[in-house]
Amino acid sequence: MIAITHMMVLYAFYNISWACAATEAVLFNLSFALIGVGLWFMVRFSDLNEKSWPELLFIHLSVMTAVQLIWILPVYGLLKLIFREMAGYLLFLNETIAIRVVTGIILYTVVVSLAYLIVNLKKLRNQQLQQAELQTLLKETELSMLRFQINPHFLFNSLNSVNALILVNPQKAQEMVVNLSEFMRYSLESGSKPLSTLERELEHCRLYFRIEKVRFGDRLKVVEEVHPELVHHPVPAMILQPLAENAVKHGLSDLEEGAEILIRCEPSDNGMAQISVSNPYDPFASGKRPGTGTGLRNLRERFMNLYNRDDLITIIKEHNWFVITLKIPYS
Amino acid sequence: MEKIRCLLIDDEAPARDLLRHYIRKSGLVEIVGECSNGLEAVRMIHELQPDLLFLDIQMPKINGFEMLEILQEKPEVIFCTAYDAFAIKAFEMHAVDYLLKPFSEERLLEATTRTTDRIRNRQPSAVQPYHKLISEGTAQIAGLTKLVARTGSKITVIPLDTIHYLQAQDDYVLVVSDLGNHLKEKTMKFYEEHLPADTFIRIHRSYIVNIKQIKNIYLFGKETWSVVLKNGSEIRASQQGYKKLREMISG
Repeated sequence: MIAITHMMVLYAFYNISWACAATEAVLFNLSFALIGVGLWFMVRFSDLNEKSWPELLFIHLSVMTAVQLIWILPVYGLLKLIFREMAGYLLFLNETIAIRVVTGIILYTVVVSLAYLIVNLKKLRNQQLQQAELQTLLKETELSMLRFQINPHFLFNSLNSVNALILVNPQKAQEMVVNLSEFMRYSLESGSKPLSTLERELEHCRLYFRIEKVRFGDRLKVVEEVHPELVHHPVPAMILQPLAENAVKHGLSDLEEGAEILIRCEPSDNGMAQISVSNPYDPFASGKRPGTGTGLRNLRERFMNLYNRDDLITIIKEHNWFVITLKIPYS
Repeated sequence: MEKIRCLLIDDEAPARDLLRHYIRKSGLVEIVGECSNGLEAVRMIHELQPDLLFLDIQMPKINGFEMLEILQEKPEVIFCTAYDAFAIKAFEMHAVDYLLKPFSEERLLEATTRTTDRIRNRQPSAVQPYHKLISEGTAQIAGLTKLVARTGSKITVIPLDTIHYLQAQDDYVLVVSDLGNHLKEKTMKFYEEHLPADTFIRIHRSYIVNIKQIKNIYLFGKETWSVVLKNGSEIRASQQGYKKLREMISG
């Protein structure tokens, strides 16, 4: 296309013969096409992007000069050799040498710019891909972090209880250490085993309550109502214990007389399991405690990540009772 | 030498067991009583007049800081807490004694010795600098979700949504709520900073209003507005205060 335009221009405006025009167009454009490929590889495979501006300018100026020389000189030589008998054309060649140099500069700039554009677009696309991968990775890490969440307050208070029990009731201290270890083990394992069963989750909760009972004594009472059909229902690991912890925090830490916590699991519509944890609470209580809210927020985020739905968790506060209900799809 | 008398305040029985065991063994101080929540503690402190408190922060009803706040005579305190980034920072900053659960016997002896020495030598009590710690503690750890006020021997817990407005009165702040009028030994600035900013607005040098209690507002005089509350009382708003109110209500 370019070669044909080139030829037409020569023929129409400069009164050059068909033969001369065609040969010149083919030679100039073909040779520049070859040079262009060279330039593309230069941009594509060199580390030009890492060089400083002055360096880059110097390189491009040198390469451009070299390109002019290896492009115009051989073609001129060849043309002069082929059409050595046509004085008019030879004169034309000599007169237009400046135009050819300018054209060369423009062509060089265009080809190099295009090459840069393409290379950078490719890089951008790669970066976007990498970013997307990173995002997925981040999400996975985040999920396992959310699962891990062990309340430091709980941990240190429990260790303090162990410390006390060693003095007053060593056997109970041993029991407590074993319970605490099992509790921790399940919590840590959930990092690599994101899916658990309702039964295992309930067992983990019982462990938690056993530990807390040492701290709170008779103030903590737990009632479980579990539909036997549901024990093998698959549920995400570490979803029940945060609710139990929440119930203890509000139902117990704030109520001096203690509280009865009710855990109820029953089948729901569409094969979902409905799990609810209820506790009484003191509306005038000490307000937010360290870590309050994070447990529930984590759970919401996990549900959003897992099921992409925000209607599976409901919270009701009524008559000084706090009820949180989860619906777990069968997966 | 007369023994220093202390009171243990912790809602967890094992934690009290441990404290009692270590303290008795050390013989450094005498335990005059134990209690498991802040309200009970206020009563016992009044009755027993202990010199020193071993005080847990997280407790039912009112927390350790809120309890200290309403005490007129503040004994020396050794704070006990399991994990609380803010509290620990504050304790360090105010150089008060504290125990991080679980703590060692040595740590307890160290803290107790230091505090009893201070009481014996009648050094300027560390309690006075507590003032700021207590304010910060109540606000930051518990979050101001209620105010605890004391009139004589009566302690009132004032939930925030029952508050109509707060009014500056010399060195005090008058809290007007459904539960009556209570004086708090605090500054308007403190409440302006720590009450939830979406509900409580400083509308005047002397007033902070609960916007949920506002019935209407009218222009009262030059650059002064009158805010009528649902209970019928009227308070003033400055031009600036009125602007804040309008932004809050329309936004």
